[in-house]
Amino acid sequence: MSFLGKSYQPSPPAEAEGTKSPAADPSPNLSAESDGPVIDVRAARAHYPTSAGPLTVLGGVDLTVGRGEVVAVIGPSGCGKTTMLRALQGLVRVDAGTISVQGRAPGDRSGRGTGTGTGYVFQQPSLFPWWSVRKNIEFGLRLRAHRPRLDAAERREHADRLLELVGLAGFHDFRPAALSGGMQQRVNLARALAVEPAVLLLDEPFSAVDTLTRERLQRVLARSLHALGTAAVIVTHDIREAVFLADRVAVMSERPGRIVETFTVARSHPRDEDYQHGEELAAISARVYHRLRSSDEKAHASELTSARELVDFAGSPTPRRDEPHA
Amino acid sequence: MPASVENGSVSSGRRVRRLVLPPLSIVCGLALWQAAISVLHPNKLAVVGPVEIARDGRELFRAGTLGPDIGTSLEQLFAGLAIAVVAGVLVGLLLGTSKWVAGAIGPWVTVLYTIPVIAVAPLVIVGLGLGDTAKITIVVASAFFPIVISTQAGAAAVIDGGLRDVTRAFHANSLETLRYLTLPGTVPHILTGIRLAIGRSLIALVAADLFGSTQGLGYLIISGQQNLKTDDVYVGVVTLSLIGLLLTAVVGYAERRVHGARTARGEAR
Repeated sequence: MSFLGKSYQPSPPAEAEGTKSPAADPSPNLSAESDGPVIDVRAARAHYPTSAGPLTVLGGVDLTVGRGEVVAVIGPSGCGKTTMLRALQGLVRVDAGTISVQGRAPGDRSGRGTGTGTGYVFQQPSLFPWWSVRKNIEFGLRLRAHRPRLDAAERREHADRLLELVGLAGFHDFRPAALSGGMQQRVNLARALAVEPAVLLLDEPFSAVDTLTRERLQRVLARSLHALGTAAVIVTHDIREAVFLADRVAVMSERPGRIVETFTVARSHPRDEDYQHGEELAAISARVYHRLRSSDEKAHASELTSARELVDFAGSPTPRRDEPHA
Repeated sequence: MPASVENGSVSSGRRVRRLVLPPLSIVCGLALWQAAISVLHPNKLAVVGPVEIARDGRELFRAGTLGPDIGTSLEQLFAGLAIAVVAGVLVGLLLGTSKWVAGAIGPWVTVLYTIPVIAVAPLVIVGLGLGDTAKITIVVASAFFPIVISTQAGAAAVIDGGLRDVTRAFHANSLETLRYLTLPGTVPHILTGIRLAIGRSLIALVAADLFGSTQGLGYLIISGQQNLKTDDVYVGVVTLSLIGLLLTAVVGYAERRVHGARTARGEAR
């Protein structure tokens, strides 16, 4: 089936996953601009201004993502995962280092065509409540930044195919409010895929849904990325989700965040429900967990030290937790 | 209880509340008013009953004075409201989307909003004369600020909300952000502003007629006061109230439609 010139296999029914798609070859996106990595981050540093001075969030992140590759980023809370993702989308500027997406600065849409930019899936679905599901998916295609321009019939056809891909065929005329949280997140995913990004950026996309829905959505995402050959960077707190979806899992240090270790998940795509609950995934998850825990312990110790310094500085008589009360 | 029955009773209860209760309340109020007149016999120069008002209204209408008065007032009201809506929405959007504009113009909006229209109406009439232009200007001045303030609040909420990140992430330019996000997101606030503006416009209309006019509902009220025709005063007041009620109902219906369309748990129409 044609997908603006790209081949993809429409999704099988939600639970009939695990069969190898004819489009199993993660073929590069069309209009590829180079053979290099789709994302190349080198020594990226960023800070947020606060009343107490600049708060360094990214402390020199290095990351490359190859064409069609899925990388999950995991790390302690507040380590800068979302900041890094927003920097990749051009929503946050880095102070030092370089970030390039397809050889260009993030957010630079000049002269770009289909399959060359980034798509962003937010933690909350953030759908336009005044539009139908189909119009929400068409949003990116209506903008001047999108090339080539599609007429209304093409946009409609494109949106309906994506709805089919994410398992929501027939829901095109529904308002977002009529959909469950999981269904809204599928629309969110379809909207990001509609602009045919070379790389999809996902910020804890399934954190707000229940366990069963989350696992189903993970399979929908894995299948969609695989079918379209789209690279992805997924920020998540869920280690099993990271291992299930990713070709590589990057572990970030405590703030200021940088990538301290990367785990390769050798299992081929598409991955099925058995893998999702199997021992292989559990074993990799355990390794990631131990690395993450060591980062988190450092972060916790660092927080305690900062708190103690603050107490000492303020001259507060409050006893430390590890000191006996007078 | 089965869900459908529950839903049915909720739905019929809502229908009674929305369609039956308001007119029933008005009819009961009018009946009590008339009963009080019949029992208490107040000074007819101060208070008359609904029956007398209706009778006088019919006579004025047959005499060919009430119709033109209503027409003149409606023309001035709609012209003033239309200008206030266009200008108010534009200024409100500017204030809501640009912190620089809000910083520069915001204090002026606050200061001018608090000026009572009755204080400046004579100055406007001196400046613009006794014609429609002065009346429409006074209506615009009254209706403009509630629309600006409401639109500004709505636009600021939309711009600070999560959907702004969506338009940025998709690289929407300023015009596209205005077209696809700010304007549709602000529509409920604009409608609320218009609803508030209708009441202020009606007051402004009478205030404008106070300082010289030859036709209009305000003129009917003023001339009734001057000629001790209390019935005429009440006819003018009640007619203005009915116009306000009708316009508010229309805008309220539009607000419910917009809200309903955004929260509908079914297919979009």
